[in-house]
Amino acid sequence: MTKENNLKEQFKQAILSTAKVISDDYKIKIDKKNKSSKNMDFFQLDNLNTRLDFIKYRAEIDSKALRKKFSSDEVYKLNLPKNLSCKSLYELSEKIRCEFLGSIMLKGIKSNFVEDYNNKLFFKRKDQLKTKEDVNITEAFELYMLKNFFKIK
Amino acid sequence: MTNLNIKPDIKISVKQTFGIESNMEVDAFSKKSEFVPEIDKDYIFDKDTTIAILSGFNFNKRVMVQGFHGTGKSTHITQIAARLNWPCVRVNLDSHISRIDLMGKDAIVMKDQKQITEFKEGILPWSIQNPVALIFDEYDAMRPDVAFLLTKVLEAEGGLTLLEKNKVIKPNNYFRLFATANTVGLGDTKGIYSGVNQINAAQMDRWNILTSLNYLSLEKEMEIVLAKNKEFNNAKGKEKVANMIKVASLTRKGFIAGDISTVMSPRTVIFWCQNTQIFKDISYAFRVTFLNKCDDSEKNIIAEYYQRCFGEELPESMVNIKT
Repeated sequence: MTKENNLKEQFKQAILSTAKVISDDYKIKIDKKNKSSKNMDFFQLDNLNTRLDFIKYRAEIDSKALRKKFSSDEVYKLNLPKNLSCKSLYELSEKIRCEFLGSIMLKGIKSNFVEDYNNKLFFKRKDQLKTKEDVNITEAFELYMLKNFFKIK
Repeated sequence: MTNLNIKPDIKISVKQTFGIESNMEVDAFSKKSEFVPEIDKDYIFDKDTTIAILSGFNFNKRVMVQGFHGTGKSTHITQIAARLNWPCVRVNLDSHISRIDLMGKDAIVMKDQKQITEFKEGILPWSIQNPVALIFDEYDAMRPDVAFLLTKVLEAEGGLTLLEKNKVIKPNNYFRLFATANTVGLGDTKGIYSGVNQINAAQMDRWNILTSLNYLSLEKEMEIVLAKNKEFNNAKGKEKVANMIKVASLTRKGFIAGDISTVMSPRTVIFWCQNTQIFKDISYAFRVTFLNKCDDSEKNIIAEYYQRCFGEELPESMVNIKT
């Protein structure tokens, strides 16, 4: 295994362990066969060159871990809207709700999310968002939630 | 060791002495003797564990305290004994301890200017004959031949037959027996305590009370840490201590998950605070208190835990290694 792959593997193990202790689910394992990105068991690290790459993967796995910790599948499905666009807003609000609770719990989780969101928004604005019409309803809702919960402008 | 010719002569209130809501009064000794542990004035007692141990002292019940390591199982018993002025002896029952270590052995002594062989009683016969609280630590790590030795002793009025001296020892009325263990006698079911054995069911049955003492809540642990580190008893200090305990909590979970092999006990957190006062650098203090004791392969995992709690990178963090 090259040095590069070795470092990736070590980082993967480290953030997976963090996901276990945040979510209180100690059975999480790396499942190389299951390629669904929604499943925390699958995790593919592509680029790991800059600090922002590390923050991105930290934020991603922390978000999934917090979803496991704070979200109840039963309650979520009970209130799931039927309309497709409402569903995506509902999913987004649940994601940010769990991330916000995690941010209150551990300050490092908050700083990872803030840095990652700021970074994503910076690149998006640069490339895609020129006018109000470039923002769809889901993105606008996400920006609204991030502004009010994470104070991201 | 000389025999202790003393017995409990006062009663003390559990509420006043231990700060626990209870009407119980327990026997105690008015004077401190040679084997009484030192009192730690800042020690905070867990209610359930304290009541269980006091029942052992007051009603001559055999009490086992089970829990993860570093949770203060033995300290709990010794601190109760300290406040009762009850003589207390601790024996670590690791796998090197054999029957003769506990019972005694022949020793060559000088008598009337002649060398003679005399049987010297071990800690077990001596303790049984005295008003002593004997604590067996790592009870689940002891050898099976030692376990069978204790079967009779575990009975309420159980004595000990000393075959080497053709003697039957009756227990002192104020002899008490306690044990601490990481498991409940079923072996290492979690895969985290190698070296422990399954305890014979008949022997486990002889322990009257089994109480569990695990890691405390954040609030309770903060109380203990702040009691030992009064300089942190302000808004900023409390925030730091809370984050330290959060790191400790993540290491405990990581240990249970099988990802790391070293865990932070409440004692480690106390040391971390003390070292922070010395070095004026919380991350350096963390490294010298705990991280440097960890295996190299686990340091980046613990660095991630640290980052989540403090929002800062340690030098051992993958971010610093790679970029």
